Order: sequence, then C-alpha cells, then structure tokens
Amino acid sequence: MSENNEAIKDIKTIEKSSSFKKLVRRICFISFGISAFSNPLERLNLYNIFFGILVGLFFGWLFKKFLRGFLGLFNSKFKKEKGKQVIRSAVDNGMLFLAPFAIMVLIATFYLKWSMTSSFISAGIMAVGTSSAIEIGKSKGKQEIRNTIATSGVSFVFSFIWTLSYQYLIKAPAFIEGGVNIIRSMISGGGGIL
Amino acid sequence: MESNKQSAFRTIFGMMINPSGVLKNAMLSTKWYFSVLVSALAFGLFFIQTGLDLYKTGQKGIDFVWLSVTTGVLYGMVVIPVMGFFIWIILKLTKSDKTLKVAVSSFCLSYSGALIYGLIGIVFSLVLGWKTSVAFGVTGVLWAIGPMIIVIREMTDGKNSLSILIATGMSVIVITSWSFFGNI
Repeated sequence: MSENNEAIKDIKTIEKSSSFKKLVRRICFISFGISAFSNPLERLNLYNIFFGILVGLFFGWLFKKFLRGFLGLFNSKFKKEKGKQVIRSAVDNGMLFLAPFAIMVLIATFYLKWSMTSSFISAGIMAVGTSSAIEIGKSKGKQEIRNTIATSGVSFVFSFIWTLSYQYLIKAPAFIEGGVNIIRSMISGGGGIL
Repeated sequence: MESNKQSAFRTIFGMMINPSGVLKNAMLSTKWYFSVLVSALAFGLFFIQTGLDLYKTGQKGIDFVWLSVTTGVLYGMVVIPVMGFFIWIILKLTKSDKTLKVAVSSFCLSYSGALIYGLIGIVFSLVLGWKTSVAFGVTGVLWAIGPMIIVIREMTDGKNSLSILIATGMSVIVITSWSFFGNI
C-alpha cells in the first residue's frame, strides 16, 4: 500500500512537458540541420539554411514519435496505469541531452570550420536514447534493460538513417537553388529560353 | 588479481552504459588513480592519433607524434582532474555532499568511452593506416558527454540544466583546445 502511495507520489513529481523543453528540442534539431547542410563555401546560403531547418525539424519530430512509441510499447502496462504523460515526460527530459551536442556542432561548423557533423549528431541521438531509458526507469523506480535496449535500438536506427540519407540529401539544396533560379529567369524573361 | 581485472573492465564499460549505477556502486571502491589513469590513457591515445594523422600527411615530423602522446597523457592526468576540481567547487556551491575525490574520479571516468574509442582507433591507425583522430578520437570525447551529464546530475540530486551546462562547457573547452593543438 505504502509502495503504491510512493509510486503515485513519484509520478506526481514528474515534470510536465513544458513548452521550454519543446523549444530546446526544436532548436537542437534546427542546429543539427543547419550545421549538417551548411555550405562550406557560403556559410550563410539561405537555401542550405532553410533546407537544414526543414530536415532537422522533420527528423527530430520523427525521432521523438518513434522513441515515444517504442517506450510506450515496452511499458504498455505502466503507460495504461499512469497515462501517456509519463512516456512523454521521459522522452522530453531525455531530449534535453541534445543541447551540448547542438552547441558543439555549431561551434565545430561555424567557428572551427569543420565539415564533419555526423559524429556530433550520432553521439547526441545515442545519448538521448540512453537518457530516455534512465528517465523512464526513474519514473518506475527501477532501471530495466529492455528499456535501454528499446531506446538504444531506436537511436541507433535513427543515427544510421541520418548518416545514410545525408549523403543524398546534401545534394538537394543546390538542386533547389538551381530550380528556383531557372524559374526566376523564366519569369523575368531572361535565361535564354525561347 | 582476476577480480581486480574484472572490476576495472566492468567500471570502464559500465561508465559508458550505466554511469549512474557505477557512481552509486563501483565509485565507492574505485581508486582515484585508476580514474586518472583512464583519462590519461584516453587522451594519450586521442592525441597520439592526431600526431599520427599529421605525420602520415607529411605536415609534421615524428617528433610531433611523441609530443602529441606526451601532451595527451598530461592533459588527461592534469587538465581533466583540474577541470574536475572546478566542477567540484560548482557542486559545492549547489550544496552537494560529494567529496573532491568522488567528483574528480567521476569526471575522469566519464572518459571511459573515449578510452575504448581510442584503443579501437589506434588499431585502425597503425594496422590499416587510417586517419583516425576525428573519426575515433573526437567521437570518443563526444561520447563522454552523456555519462558526464548523468554523473553531474547524480551529484546534484537531479539538476538537469546545471549538468547539461557544465558538461557542455567542459566539452567545448576540450574540443577547442585539442583543435588548437593540432591546428585542425
């Protein structure tokens, strides 16, 4: 009985997902996108920046959904008892671990002028996996290996997807810029098109 | 002897996978010099790979390789514990009851992942001739951030923001100082 009361007390003390945490998460993924798709020859190229923001936000949203989904799946009984908020809170707290990696990837790209960003993003994503498992363990009052496996698995897959898709997506901003320039020249009547 | 070996192995891998567990259990029996040895070896391996990379591309001579390994070992042995000392001062301001020995040991042990990456990297560098300082060295240092945040959070009774702030600051110092050393 007292254990139940303690558990309920613990759940009540879990921080609710605040808008601040969402903002931090979005800024982190935007930073990843901007840094990864930054053009070394023209760091402030708007096409690269906007494409990076879009990819970063989409990737972050998808990663969050999968992480929540898998944590919910592996803790379905706990989720039914305590509500979705427990899973959401664990993932949101875990996502805060992205902040150091986001700051470092910005420093590496725009200050140290490195073009290597995958290590930062992969390490950040894996750190989120570990920390989300720890957060859900804190809520339950015990750490479970199955949660670590689930979150690390999702993180590994997303880290792999990022590394793989990046090789293709990095070409996209130049294509978009080229396409926009052709349309612009057609509208203005230039460009040599008869 | 055998049990000591197993303990060291478990501590290093445990710090990569379950830092809070190591902090609660193994840290009580882990000698401070073992933790300093972990960070000294981790940075020694990281820096020697930097020297080897620059030597392979003809930018530096063999003397720089020796300078790199010496600098790396000293960095892990002196600079990292000094950073741990400053973290301990910050933790004291937040009324943490952890001792200086535990704080410095935990901070040094956070680089267990960097040591493992360093060991793998040096094999690839020497056997296959790869340039590994960024792929393995930097990645190893990045992997240290997660355990570092968890260690600091455990020592501050769950202060996420403070842990993230301190770990970010320390990692930025490490990466930028290494970058200036290798002029990368």
